[in-house]
Amino acid sequence: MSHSINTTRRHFLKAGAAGTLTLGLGLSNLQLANGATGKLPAAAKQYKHYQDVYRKKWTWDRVEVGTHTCLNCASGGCSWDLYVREGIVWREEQNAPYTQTNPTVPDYNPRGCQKGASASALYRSPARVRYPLKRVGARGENRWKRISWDEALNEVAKALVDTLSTRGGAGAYCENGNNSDFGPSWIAMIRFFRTLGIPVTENFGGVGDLMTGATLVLGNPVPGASSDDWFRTDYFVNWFGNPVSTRIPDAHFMTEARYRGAKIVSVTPDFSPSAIHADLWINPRPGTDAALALGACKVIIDDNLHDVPYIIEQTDLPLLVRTDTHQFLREIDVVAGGRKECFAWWDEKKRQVVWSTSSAEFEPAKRTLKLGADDHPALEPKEASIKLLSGKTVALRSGFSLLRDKLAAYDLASASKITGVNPKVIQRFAREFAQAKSAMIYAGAGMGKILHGELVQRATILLAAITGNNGRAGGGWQEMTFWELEGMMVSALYDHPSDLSLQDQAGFWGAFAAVGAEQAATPTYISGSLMMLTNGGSYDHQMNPKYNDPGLSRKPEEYLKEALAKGEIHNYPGPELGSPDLIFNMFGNPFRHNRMGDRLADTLFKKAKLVVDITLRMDDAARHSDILLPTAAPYEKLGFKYSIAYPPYLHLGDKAVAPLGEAKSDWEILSLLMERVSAEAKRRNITTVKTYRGVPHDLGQAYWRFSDKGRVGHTDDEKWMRLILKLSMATQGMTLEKLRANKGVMRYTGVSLLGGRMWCGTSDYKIDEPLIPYQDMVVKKKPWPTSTGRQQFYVDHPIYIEVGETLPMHKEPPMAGGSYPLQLTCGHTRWSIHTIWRDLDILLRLQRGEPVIFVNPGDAKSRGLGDNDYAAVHNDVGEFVARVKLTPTMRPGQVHIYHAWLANQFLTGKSNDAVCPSPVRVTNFAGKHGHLKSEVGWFDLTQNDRDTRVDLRKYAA
Amino acid sequence: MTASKRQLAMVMDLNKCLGCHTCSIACKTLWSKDDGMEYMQFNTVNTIPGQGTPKDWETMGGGFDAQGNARPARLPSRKEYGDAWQFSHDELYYGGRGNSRHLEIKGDTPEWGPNWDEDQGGGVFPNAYYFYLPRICNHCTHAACKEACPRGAIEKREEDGIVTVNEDRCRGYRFCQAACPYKKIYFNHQKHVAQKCIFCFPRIDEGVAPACARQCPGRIRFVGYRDDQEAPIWKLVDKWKVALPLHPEYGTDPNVFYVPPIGPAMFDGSGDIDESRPRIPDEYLVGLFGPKVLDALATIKAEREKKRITGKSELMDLLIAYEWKNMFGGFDKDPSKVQVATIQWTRKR
Repeated sequence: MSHSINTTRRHFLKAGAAGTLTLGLGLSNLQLANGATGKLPAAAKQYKHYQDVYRKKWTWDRVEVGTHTCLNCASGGCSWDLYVREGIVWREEQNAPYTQTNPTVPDYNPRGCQKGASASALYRSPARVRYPLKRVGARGENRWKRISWDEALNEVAKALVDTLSTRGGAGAYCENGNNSDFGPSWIAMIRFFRTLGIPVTENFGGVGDLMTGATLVLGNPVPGASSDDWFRTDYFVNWFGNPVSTRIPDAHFMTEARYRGAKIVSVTPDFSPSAIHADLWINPRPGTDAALALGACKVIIDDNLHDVPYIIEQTDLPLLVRTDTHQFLREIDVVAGGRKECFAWWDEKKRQVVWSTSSAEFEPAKRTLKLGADDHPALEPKEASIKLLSGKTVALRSGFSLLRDKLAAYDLASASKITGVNPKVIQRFAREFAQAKSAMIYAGAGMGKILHGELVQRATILLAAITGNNGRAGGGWQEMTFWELEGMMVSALYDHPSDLSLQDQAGFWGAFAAVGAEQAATPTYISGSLMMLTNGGSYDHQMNPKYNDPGLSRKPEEYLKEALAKGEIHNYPGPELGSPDLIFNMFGNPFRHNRMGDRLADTLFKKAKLVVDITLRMDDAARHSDILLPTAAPYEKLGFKYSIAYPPYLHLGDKAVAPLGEAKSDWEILSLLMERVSAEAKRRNITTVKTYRGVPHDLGQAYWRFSDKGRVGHTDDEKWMRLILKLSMATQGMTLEKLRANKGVMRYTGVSLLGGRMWCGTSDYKIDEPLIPYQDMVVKKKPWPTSTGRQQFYVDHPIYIEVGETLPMHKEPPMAGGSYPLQLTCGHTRWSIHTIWRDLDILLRLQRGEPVIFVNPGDAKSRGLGDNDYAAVHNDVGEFVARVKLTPTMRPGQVHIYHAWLANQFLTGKSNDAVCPSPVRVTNFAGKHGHLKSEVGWFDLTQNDRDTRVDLRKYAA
Repeated sequence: MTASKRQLAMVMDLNKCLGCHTCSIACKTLWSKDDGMEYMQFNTVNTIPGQGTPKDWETMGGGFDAQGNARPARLPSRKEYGDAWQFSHDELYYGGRGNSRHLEIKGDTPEWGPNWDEDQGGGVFPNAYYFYLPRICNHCTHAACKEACPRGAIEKREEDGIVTVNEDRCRGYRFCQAACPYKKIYFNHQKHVAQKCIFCFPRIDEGVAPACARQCPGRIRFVGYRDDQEAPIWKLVDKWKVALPLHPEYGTDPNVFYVPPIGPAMFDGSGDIDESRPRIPDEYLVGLFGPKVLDALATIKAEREKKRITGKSELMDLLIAYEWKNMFGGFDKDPSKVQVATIQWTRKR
């Protein structure tokens, strides 16, 4: 840049007198180069005012629209624009593209939260891994050297071929933390490990989000709808959840419903951030929520406020149970060659047993919930009986009459005694709930994180069901649900998805059948919670009867052994997977999301010869790994956001900038790796290797399969994106170009025909209405996806009968961790999506910079603890240290820590997970019982932590 | 004192604030990343009852008394704001010390921060209470900072009343910092100038709402001219009178207003619901917003009930904000569509 500066004294003084620029030089001749011509743009404003300094701050080179697939955020998508300067992301801002569903509900704008607003800061932060790294020194020492991609990939490929050729797929496994997108990243992981026959952990149960109670009752673990439906409720019960902190983009529908006149109720033991915006806060003792719900049910039934026609049509409560076996009456009991999943009610008029057309094994063409004109099911039949095939006559009772018996234990006085809630409050709550035009129970994911959470789920769904709320606009039991993307499923699970099209229906569904067969032989997923239990080092604590239900007649481990002997557990990772040579880690931090996750260092990880972490950032898992492969940040690669239904829009995560350092997308990393695996196999003349279930395959052909016959190359992430759009029923008509033109966001155009996990039971999707779940059942009278075809409250699997849980009931929280005076609860922090943002400086500065535990002032004082003192939180399982925050919002006897602090943020390197024994829920081992099928993400062992007993003592640092 | 021709204002609805701090981060990543600005939070959100930011700012004086005289005041210290703590990430992740290190805050152990007492609150269990109070510069009509500056380095824009520090004129005396009763002026120790919230005037000049308002996912912030009777600000402040200034007794005529919060019912000694008095004590809210807050609360409750029964209430519809764009009094332009300013760093002869 050439310039001449006239620095004669006269010019200097002139410049100084005007007092504008402080540079003190006569700059009138200073030419600023601008491109080739050296001229300034014509519209350039003359600097004349200090305010222009601020104007200049708000500038950028370009805007990238539709980014930010904030990984694993269960609130669903939020649409952001990235403002880029010189190829580096300067900052982001929401682009608020959402049009109003219809004029009667508020629009979704703007969405986004403080985490999204600091995403670019995070992806540039010191925690970000920018280059392939290899461990130097001992594992966990945190000494690294930078290596090239070539070196890294060669070493990993060699290790893979070594292991696969000697031990098959059982010699390795992949820890999967769920922090992936719904796109090429997830597809990459599944295709890679599926092709090699290596198992991948599935952790919905492991983290504790899996609502097995919802699976049992509603036939689906993630029943829910769009969040603008919250606005239409008249009575919003925020149960066990904290949406003010955990549903930041959606919480406004709740606060705005309040202005509409809805009553907001918060059920939580401590005065939580969500309780502050409620009309009524109900504070049951931690873990006693089932008693509260059942007490409310009893009030409603005794007061005759329950919806009898709804109960008769939509629930299993009129169905008959045998008084001899305590099992449902089934056709197979009565008719030779009869059906097993065929159930009956007692007809009042005909005075006989009638088989329910809703039953799972009723003739498919005739299956319906709709009752005929002369069907009169009795809700509480007297003197119902039937002659069995054996010749014996057995008395029958309906589920409802058994429920009435059960509810006797939850009269107001008893429910109050158990929960600590005043009986008048329980009564008032019950009556208000029943009499509201539409009442919603918004179930927080915390409901899965106590030992008896399944019972709480069943009891609260019961409350919603007997009042006829499941299926009402603004009503019913809901939590998050997903918009199924078949295109993504088939892209991950089928070898040749590029051959498929929706026009060729036979081919499309044939592909799913092929997937089913392949998965039956070698399930790609193993249960992460069972892997931790069996091989992770937590078995003794998790199986300790002292930490479990004292009413169990057998030791907890007996239930597991029996279930295994009966073959009732699917995706079971047995001890044969306990000594992997090779561990991969993707999308998460198993040291953090597993209770007692720190033990992995001494078990699975210790046994592995090579641990490879494909990671965005340094965290507990990375520190225990040998090779770190840097993955691209969400806006450095293409992907779709988790297709959660709260916002019924598909969100594109566009590639806005090049990956930082040498990071690559997950697809590219695994594609490069797979290519080398096949090349190495061919070089060594290795052909046949076995999956971890013993199915042979040709390792030399693995890359061919992985790349869809070579059609999807290393940097062809975009092909997967297009295939997802092409092959998903929810995205018909969408293209990447249209998405980009629409700020990366488009409303879903349909719903999936795939049943299964990701479903809300409403197939008639109206683009200008909030999505309400369960319409197929409540309006169209299609059966629920349960054995009885109804909302199923009675469970007759032998384990349930043995432990007394055939119907929802309350069970006392166990003394998990020992006999200690305080109960340690936990909740999802507002400050991070799991560990991802937990150590970001600009967010830590808005907290205390390190882990804190909330303590009632009385409990603190008696232990000599003041605000900000370090406290050691301890029990029989372990100990961690955190700073105390005194608060009158905390219940005496309860202490609370928010989740996902990295272990290395704690003073002693042990996190709050180190004290949680996560006792096993023995009913999770049930399976092979109608819709009660053991399956990851469906019905699986769940980890829990919020019954943990601890004490605190002052800790001198 | 020259009054501005028009005055921009903001209303914050405390019944909707989630305490998420998206506003704080929106502002931080936009304006206060430069040298000396690391500890500055032009936008703060505090849990109250609480000591706020800076710590116990309500005891530090400033503003004017009832007669219009300047009230004595003191400067907050860096510690009372809370410093921009630095962390040992690099040492932890790359230093080779294994588990013997944890993520440490370098330097002195912090004693306060901009959100130190988050979620602690007041009262006694089970009748504890709190809410979140976001604060920015109030761009006061009778700005104490402006009066306090001997160099006249604080200006109030004629066209919209935004108060700015002329950083060219400022010599870093800090009288403004003491004079502001809301303690919303920061001092840049490296550049020796006062700095504060600028109401995002570069965005305002382009028709875009301030970042803190536009980026708020709780949808709590309204923006607009005080005199615009078509827009929400005037309706909430002057027509319905449900949006009130914070500490009106400080005498500066602030232009940021708050819709007061209503918490859940209290419990009596037996644990039954006690609706005879509000969980957030009236006296506490009067202490913050003045006695008019009681009328505001009554109006909100009445209109909510009216909306519940009849489905109609202009006030409730305003606060629900069915269409988010309409919250910003016309400042609803998409920032990504703005023609970026190019500044010519020269001076014509």
